[in-house]
Amino acid sequence: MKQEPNWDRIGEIAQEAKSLKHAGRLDYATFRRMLAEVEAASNGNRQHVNILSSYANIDWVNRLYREEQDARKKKRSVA
Amino acid sequence: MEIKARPFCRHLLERNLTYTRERINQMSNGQIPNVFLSAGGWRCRCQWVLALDQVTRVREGVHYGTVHSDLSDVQTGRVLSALDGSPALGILSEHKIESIAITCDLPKDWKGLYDYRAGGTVQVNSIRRRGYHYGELFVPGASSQISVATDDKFESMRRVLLHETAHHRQSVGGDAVSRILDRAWGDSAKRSITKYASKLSGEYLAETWVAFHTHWSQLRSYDPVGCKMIEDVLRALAGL
Repeated sequence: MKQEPNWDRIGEIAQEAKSLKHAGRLDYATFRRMLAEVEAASNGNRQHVNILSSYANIDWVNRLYREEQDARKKKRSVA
Repeated sequence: MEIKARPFCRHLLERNLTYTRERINQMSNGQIPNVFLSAGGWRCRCQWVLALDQVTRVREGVHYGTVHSDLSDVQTGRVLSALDGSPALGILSEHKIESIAITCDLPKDWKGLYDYRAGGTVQVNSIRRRGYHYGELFVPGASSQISVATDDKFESMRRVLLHETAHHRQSVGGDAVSRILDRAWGDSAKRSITKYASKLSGEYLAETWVAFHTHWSQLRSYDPVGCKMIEDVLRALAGL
């Protein structure tokens, strides 16, 4: 059974993303770092990374999707 | 003239809102079942009146620009129909969503996305895995997210669509909606309907919006502050 996500930590990261976005200082690299932090705090419930979606834009999400696809293809070709 | 009405009926009359049949089916008058037929209960003289001006189905070109979907037409229609009859559908004809995508090209852990740029774009991930994207029980305050708290994968997508379009309504509602949201978010009596709703004001609005459409009775008794917030938002949107 999965552990309960660390909602307090997820909330902190989301608040940080909100502040950075409002200050115009949220770039793709920071967004990626924050996604990884939410993923770690979610204790295996990775769907909660969606909480950062309000601070993303379509271009970043498409880029993220392409990176995921590339990583998957690489993994497959090694296997 | 003083209107004699039971508290249940008075509550609805004072709010002066329109309700879908689905929402009426979820209501409880605290006496006998089937509120659609029994209204306020035994020997209640109130009756429902069809709001002909509000019987609206969501339509391409009117409420949203385009739709792209991996699903069949029937399945796509089923997901989109989550917006049918919504009291706030009118606002979408004034400020339509640029595009809706129900596709599998979102990062795998994402359920949906709203991007406010260029009129607003909504994306719903068409990939649903039980136990991950859906399959939880709905327990007010304890469920992680409303879209996960269903046993039906299409219902899960419908809820994500409602959730993301709530962000759109927040975006077009501007200061009027922000003020209502800030007031509710700052109210110490508020009780977030899901864990997800408890962390950001925007998510509180979106999750409460979905619950208002899918679990009205439970929302009303668990988080009256949130329920009133959505009613106020609906009035504000109607006045735009």
